[in-house]
Amino acid sequence: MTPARSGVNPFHLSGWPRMRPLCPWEEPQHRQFYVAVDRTETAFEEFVAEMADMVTLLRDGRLVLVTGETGCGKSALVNRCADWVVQQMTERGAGCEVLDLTAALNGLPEDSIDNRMSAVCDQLFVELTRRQLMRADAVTSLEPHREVPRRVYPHLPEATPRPTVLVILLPTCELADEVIRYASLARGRILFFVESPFMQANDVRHIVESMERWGSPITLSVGELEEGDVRRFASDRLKRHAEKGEYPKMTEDTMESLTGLLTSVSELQRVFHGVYEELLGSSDWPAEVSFEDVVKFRFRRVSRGQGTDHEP
Amino acid sequence: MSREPDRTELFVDTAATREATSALSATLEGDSPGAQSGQVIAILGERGSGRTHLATRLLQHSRTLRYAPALSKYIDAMASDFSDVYRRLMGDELVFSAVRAQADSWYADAVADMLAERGFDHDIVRQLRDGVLLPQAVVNRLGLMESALLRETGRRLNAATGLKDLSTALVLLLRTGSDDRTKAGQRRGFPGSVKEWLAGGEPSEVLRERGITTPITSEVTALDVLAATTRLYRGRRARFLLVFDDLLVGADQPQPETLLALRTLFESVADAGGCLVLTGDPDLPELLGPQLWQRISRTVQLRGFTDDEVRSFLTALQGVRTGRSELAPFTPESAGYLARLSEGNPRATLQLGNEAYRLAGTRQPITEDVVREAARHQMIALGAAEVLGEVQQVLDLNGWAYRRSHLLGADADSRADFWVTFDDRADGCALLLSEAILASEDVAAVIRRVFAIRQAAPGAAVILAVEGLLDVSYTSGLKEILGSEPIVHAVRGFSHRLTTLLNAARLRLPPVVRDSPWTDVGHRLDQINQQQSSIFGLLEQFFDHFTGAERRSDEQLTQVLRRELAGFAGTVAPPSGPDPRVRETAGVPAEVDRLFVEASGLLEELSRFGETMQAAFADTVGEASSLILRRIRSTTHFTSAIGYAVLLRELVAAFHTGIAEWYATYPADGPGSLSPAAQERLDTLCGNYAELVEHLPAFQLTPLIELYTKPGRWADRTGPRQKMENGVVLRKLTELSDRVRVAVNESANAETG
Repeated sequence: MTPARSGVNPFHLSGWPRMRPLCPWEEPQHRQFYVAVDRTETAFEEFVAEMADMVTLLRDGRLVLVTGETGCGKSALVNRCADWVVQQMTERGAGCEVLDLTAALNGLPEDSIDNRMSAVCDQLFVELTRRQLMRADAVTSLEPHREVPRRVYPHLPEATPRPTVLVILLPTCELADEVIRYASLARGRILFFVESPFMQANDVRHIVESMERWGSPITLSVGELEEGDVRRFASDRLKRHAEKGEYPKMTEDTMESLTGLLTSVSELQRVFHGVYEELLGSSDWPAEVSFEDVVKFRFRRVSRGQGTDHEP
Repeated sequence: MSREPDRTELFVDTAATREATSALSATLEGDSPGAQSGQVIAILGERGSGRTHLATRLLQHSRTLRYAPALSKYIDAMASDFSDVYRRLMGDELVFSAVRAQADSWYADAVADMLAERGFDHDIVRQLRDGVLLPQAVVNRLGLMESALLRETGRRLNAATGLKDLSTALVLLLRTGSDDRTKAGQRRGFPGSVKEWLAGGEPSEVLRERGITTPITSEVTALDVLAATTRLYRGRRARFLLVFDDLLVGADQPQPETLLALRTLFESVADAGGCLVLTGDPDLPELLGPQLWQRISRTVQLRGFTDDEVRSFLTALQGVRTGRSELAPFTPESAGYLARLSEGNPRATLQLGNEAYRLAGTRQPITEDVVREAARHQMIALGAAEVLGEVQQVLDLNGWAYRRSHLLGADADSRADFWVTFDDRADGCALLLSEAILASEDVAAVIRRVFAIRQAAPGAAVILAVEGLLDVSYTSGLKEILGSEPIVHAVRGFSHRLTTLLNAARLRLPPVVRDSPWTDVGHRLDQINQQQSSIFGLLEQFFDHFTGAERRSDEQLTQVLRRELAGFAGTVAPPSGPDPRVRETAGVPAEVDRLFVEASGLLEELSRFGETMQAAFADTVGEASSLILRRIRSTTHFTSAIGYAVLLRELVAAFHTGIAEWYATYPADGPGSLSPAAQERLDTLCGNYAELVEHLPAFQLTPLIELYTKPGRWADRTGPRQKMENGVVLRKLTELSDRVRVAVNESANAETG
């Protein structure tokens, strides 16, 4: 019996869940894994340009709204932007903390805006306390109101032991009113990030118009995969792992044949990671990945019901 | 929630049932689902003609078809408006699941279309369209763009249903993870919110935030949403069958806007390839109007069984009972007689047949006499509960106050089965329920009751409802007595005719004069005054006659007086012994009984003027009698006091009877205080007495008491008397209800102890 050859899955990031978005503020090495697909590069540049010298953030606080369909890289973009802010503030010698509340509503996603915001606010209070990001007197005074957003957020800039920018990553929102309410709670040194797969251009317009008096939020959008995105993404991952081990190659033709068939970077990651995982699991994996391998993998995945993937 | 009746064990195939079954099969069956246009089928027939039976038969039949409907639901629509029908339909768990599954199929199509457009994943596409794969699973496992697919599905649902709220709500059901994992105690999530709103509840906060702000409560909105829901099936594989049984039976005529919404529903059902079965009375076409009726694609008329079908039915019935399908023990003659009595009505045929079996026992064969006896027994017994329910429903729907089994006078015959009163009328209407009227004795019993009620409540209207069969030869005679024809429950439109008769009776009653809170009492006192006037008039006649006449035999005069007065009291009062006005008092504790005996004894004493008259006649000289009579006539308010005494005697007797009946109704079944129901009834009885005695003031008796107690006057002439003090008499009468209440409670406590 021929021993199975050991191979490397080029779409797997060591030590990182396969479908979890890149997160450079938590894993700095992720900064190099961003590929310019799904219009994310452009969106990131827009963010950097909007933030400019950070004056508005430090004086008034800001809210960043990222829209785009499911799986188009919104979370990875948010993490990249948050990481950039942390770097900027660090370079300036100022404090900056990222508070990830994106999972604060897990188990309770289908609730009213009031209840959602209360639950998030409560979780924020827990995080700030756990990480000792609030002075003791602030903890005492805010504790009774920990579920009341309008009694907590406006007091946060003064509640930290030293001047600190708080980057707050909010759970996914689908209603414009919720975004507007968060935007109105921003104060100097508070930066909200919120993403939404359900909001359309008219929703964004409504939010911007509603916030004119307080300062418009930064709105970014990501889109579906464009011409060349499949090749760009696949090539990056294949080249990046060339030195780390063996794996089936993927021809330019195969990449091109998948253009237009796979529409988001999430779908791309899921399919390629899965196909390689499946191929590398057999003792005689082929030299090349074919279009048919991709199609068969997808059907097997759906019909066999291989687990349930929920994006974080 | 409505329940499908299960009455399918006995079935006789008729032309009508074959027609309905065939129409249903044509709609739901076929090689190309979705191609066949839908139908609205109306099944019309009199009550008991087997409408419900056929409707449920159709439901069962539909489930045997090759393309059994994905949604089939029976709703008992009797006396319901369309919003009620809608709520019961959409509030059903299975219906909600079916609607949700249909929304899933639209989502599956959107996902399949997207994958098909890409040109690969052919197998996934096929399985999605066949319903093998759930769209949520495919979206999740392939990492597809859920947001875009949900948006596209919402767009399609909106276009299909034409209702933004409905499509928005349905999309909320499609999300990955938006399922029923909400555990007890947690918030209900989208499915719970959507289900509640669809079933007619207020939209929850999460729905309002998404633009759904209107509850589905009006008839028009309910029909619109129902029509929109049926459009989810248009051009789809799945079919549906909805049965609205007894539609508009006992309900008001729909408003024009409701009819318009119904029309939309009918059109949507037809477009969607579904089937809506409506059963109702033969006047359903009139209620729906000709324009809407045109949208009914098939009408099935249920007529009574023919004689042959009755024989087949009885044969089948015998088969069910014994396993032997034969007509015996019925004879062709008795079967024919049964058919004539039931007029071929299937329900009546079944009931009569079963009752005839029961009565016959081992007597064989079943003769016409047995069938006649069965008719008397069974039609009555089965009708009684039903007619009571229908009467109550009519009264409730019209908001008329009523009392059940209300005794209007002292006579048991004066009991009204329903005593109906109206806010704007000073008197009421006695509704009498009668069993079958098939013989002169039945008619006599009704007449006795009508006369007793007329005597007890001269101004009241009287309506007679017959629960069973009515021999038409008695109809005109009863009409003369009642003022209106009796209404027969078995005849369709009972509720409507009862409503009409009650309305007519109400209009004939004297209106309430609104300027005094005591007008009702005032009217009642007017009636009492009328009765008093009659008594006084009689007395005047008697006295006038006596004054101007030669002396007559004492005995003769006493008899005349007694006879005349007895005419008012409804009975001849004996000089002693239990009050005959009071019916059975067994079970009434001695202490309670004593209070009544004491009160009635006082009144008896005060009103024993017959004996007084005897004393007068015993005076052979004649001066004494003249003196007494002059005094009587000169004593202020004497005659009025006599009238009050008579009425108070009646009141005490009625109260006594009420308490005796109370003891019979709530017998002490062991130690313990009174039950809440018993206490409430006792309070009512005592309250009624207190209220009435307040308006029959006992002080009016004062002239009698004075006359009674003054020495040398008639008290001396009539032998030994009990002690009679004005204040004591008044207290014993006015405080009787309080004393009774205390005695009853003490008696109950004594049992406890």
